[in-house]
Amino acid sequence: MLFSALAVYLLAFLVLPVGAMVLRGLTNADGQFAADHLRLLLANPVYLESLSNSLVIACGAALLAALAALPIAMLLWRHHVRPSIYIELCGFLPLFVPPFVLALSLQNLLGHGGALGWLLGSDLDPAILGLPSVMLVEALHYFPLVLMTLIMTTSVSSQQACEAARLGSSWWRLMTRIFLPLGMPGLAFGMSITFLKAMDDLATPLSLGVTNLLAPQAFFRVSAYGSQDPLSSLIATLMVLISALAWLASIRLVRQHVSWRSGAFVAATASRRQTIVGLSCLGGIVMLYVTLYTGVALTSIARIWSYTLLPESFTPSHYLTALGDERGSFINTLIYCGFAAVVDVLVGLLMAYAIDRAAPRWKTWLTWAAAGLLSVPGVALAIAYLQFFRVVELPFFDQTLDASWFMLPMAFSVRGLPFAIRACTIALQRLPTTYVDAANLSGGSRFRVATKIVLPMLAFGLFVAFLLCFGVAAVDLSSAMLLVPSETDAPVAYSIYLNMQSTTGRGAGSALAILSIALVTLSLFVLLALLRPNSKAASSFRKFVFTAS
Amino acid sequence: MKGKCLRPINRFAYVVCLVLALLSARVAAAAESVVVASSFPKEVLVAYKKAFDERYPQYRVEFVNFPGTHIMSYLADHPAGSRPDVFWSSSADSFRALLRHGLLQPIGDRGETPAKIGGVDIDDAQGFYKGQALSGSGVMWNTRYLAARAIASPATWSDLVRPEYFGHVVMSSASRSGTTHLIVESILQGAGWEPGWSLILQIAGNCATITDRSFDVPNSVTSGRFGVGLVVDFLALSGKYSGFPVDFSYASPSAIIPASIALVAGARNSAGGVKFIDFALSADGQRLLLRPEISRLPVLPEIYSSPDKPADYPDLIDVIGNNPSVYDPEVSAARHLVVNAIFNQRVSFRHRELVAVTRAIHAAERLLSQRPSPQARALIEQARRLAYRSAVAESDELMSAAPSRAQVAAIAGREAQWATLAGSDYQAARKLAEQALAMLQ
Repeated sequence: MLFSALAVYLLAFLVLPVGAMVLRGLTNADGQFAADHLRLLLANPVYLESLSNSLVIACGAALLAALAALPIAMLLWRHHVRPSIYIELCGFLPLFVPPFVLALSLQNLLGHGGALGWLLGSDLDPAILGLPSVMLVEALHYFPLVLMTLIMTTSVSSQQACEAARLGSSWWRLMTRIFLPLGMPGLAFGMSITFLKAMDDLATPLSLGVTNLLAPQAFFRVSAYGSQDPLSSLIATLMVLISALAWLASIRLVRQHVSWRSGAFVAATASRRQTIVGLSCLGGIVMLYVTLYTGVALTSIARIWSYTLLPESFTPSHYLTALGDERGSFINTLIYCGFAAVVDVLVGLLMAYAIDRAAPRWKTWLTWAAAGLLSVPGVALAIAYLQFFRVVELPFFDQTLDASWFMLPMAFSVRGLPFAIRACTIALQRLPTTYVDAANLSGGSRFRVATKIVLPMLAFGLFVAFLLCFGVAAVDLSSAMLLVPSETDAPVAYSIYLNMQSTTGRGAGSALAILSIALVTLSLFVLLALLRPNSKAASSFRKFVFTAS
Repeated sequence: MKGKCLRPINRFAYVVCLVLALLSARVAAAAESVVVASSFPKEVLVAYKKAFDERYPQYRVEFVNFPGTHIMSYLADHPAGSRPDVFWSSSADSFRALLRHGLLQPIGDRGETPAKIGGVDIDDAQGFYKGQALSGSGVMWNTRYLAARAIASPATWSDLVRPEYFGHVVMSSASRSGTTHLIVESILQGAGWEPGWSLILQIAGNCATITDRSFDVPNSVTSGRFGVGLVVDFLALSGKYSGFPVDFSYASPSAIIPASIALVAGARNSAGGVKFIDFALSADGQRLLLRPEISRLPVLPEIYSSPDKPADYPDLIDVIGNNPSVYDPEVSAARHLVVNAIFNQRVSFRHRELVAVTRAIHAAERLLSQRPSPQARALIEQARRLAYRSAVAESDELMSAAPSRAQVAAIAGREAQWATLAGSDYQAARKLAEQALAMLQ
């Protein structure tokens, strides 16, 4: 029964809508296969340019982030610096903050209007640079994630590596033979997330005035000609294909076996030198990000800031506006993302169970398919939903499905599902079978065993899954921009975007952005502090992220 | 052991319960909402929502925000029963298109607002939509930005093609902003099709960036990121009256057009929608327009004698008197999609190339003014002709066709041609300008 519900969920909210979208792009008005639309797409140089630009930006952002992260991670690794779990957590903040906030902050800092740009008077405005600035913003935004995943995967055996170094291995040999192979799963994970997110990002290129990318082109067509437009279906299909290929490539890289046990000989206390290296590296990075976000922080308290180095007058009113008028968006975020995350945990647990129990040849196939879910971009999913659910009537509410807020959490849940499956799989693997067997043998009913033994033991893993899915949903602006039925229903990431669209400074939007970053950081820390007594917390938090099997 | 195991599951259960409780609260609260689709900035929407919700506690206003130009595709995607109740926008074309497709409900004669001010029709003659505020368009500039560069402030559109404005202007896209579409269309109708496109393309060539939404234009100018912007009046005035060092001048040709409000056919809550329309047209609703962060021209004449009005606020009659409108909304509505498509293919998606051509032409002309050369002049003129042309005839069959699925398909086919042509035009024009430059050097 449960499994048929699972099948219905997957069919209704993923397979059928996306399948119908692919078909719409490849068939003509009579429903026959025809290459008419494909020919139209290929005939327009703008779409070809968008394709190559999207690839360049996504690959470039992933490479830049990796190139910046590698030397720093190597340095920390050589000196056995292991950041505290709180710092590691900060590395995951990019997953919970929309990148376009950084783009707008850089506009304030580097544009002619104020701060550095005003001081230097040069054309550093990211909107003038265009394409490279989109790449730079995405790379800067996801760099902490790449760095932290790299540190996490390599730190396990830093002591052993130290021994190797003492045996006379050269610096280069140490890096190519030990550091890179160790770090590959983390690096591949961080880079593929950067690639997929940069490919899918809609708000960042739009705020920087960059139009010739796949996501904005699909968005423009849908908003100008409606969701039934076949060319937008084709562009969305193209995005799904590219993302799937990228994801598969990254899986190839991380298929090797990785040991997650912490190193046997971890240094008990850090030396003075180690502390200095660690503090200066991580402190430098934190300072960099604080500086990058001062553009938004200043606008959030500025009343008049126009062509001066710093704002000429300040006001707390933007925060009052954000807290007063936009309280609803925080509640919306709680509702939609909470709903999506609950669905994710339930479906993820079921799927993890199904994968665990499947026959070996199905197992690999299912694991890959589940991971492949991650490659459905938000724009593509939103277009598929708009086309598919247009005509579905809700039975009791006397309105169609697309007018309700219902589609948004469902789209969020599909987007968060791969993370949920991964987290649930790890939770299931950690379940000691001896306990379950013992309970079964002592004659407990299946229900009793499930509620008294299995669920309590899974609870922590499920909780982590819930949190992760919540965070992924909270910044999913690409699907929100197409699916939000009204502003009152907007989750906070979209509210930030809308509030930035003001005529008199971006005060309220900036205040909202600062508030939500603060809120996310605070809640992550509080939750971690709550979970800290459980010694398994830290390691399992690290573990669920990676796809290493 | 037992207690330790149970705590996390309880926490999880709490979260589930909280989410379910919030969900049910949501369903219960959704009963009497009035959904207003509007392209207006947040400042306007928040002010009206607060005032209306306070006046009528039984209703709750919700907004759907997207460019006014997209209302047709939005309603096409939303069947009756799932549509917004009210449409409120400056995009006159959209109201005509809605009317033509039977997507509006008649609201009859409501409120005290006059049907005609000066020569401008405020209301729809058949009683389907009513003017709620008047607006004209023009140029806004940041006084500090221009003073720092010793650039004179512009007075009208044609000033913006001058080389000293290169890289300092900012405008939005006609296809993404209803007000920018109106600016483009009023230039096309006022100056003529080809001269109009030439002017628009020259201005766009001087632009530092083409913003995605109209709000980013006043935002860039008030913050001093860029110096000059093409905007509808209230976007500039709200910055000025909020204390930013910006100023505004109505430009010509420009259309004085009412921002209208209408009841959508297939609305969920028609009664609530009518209440909102009545409120927007009432004296209280009109007075909200004078707020510094809104700064729009009310259509109710008595508001202009209100004490809330700032001293140098534009007067209705002056604005209308100074701007003889040459604007034919029927022409505009018929070619709406085509104008947007041309703008996209020649400006939005090709902006970098257009800027490069314009830079080369300005450089060549600067040298030409110092060393006259007939051959170089001919080359530059040829480059200008290639770069600043629409490449689509005004008599093109697409222009008069009623917007339909077939027209959308036809446009998609032609878009590919226009995109190719725009690319080759800009490349050739740049080469010619550089040739002229080399000749002059």
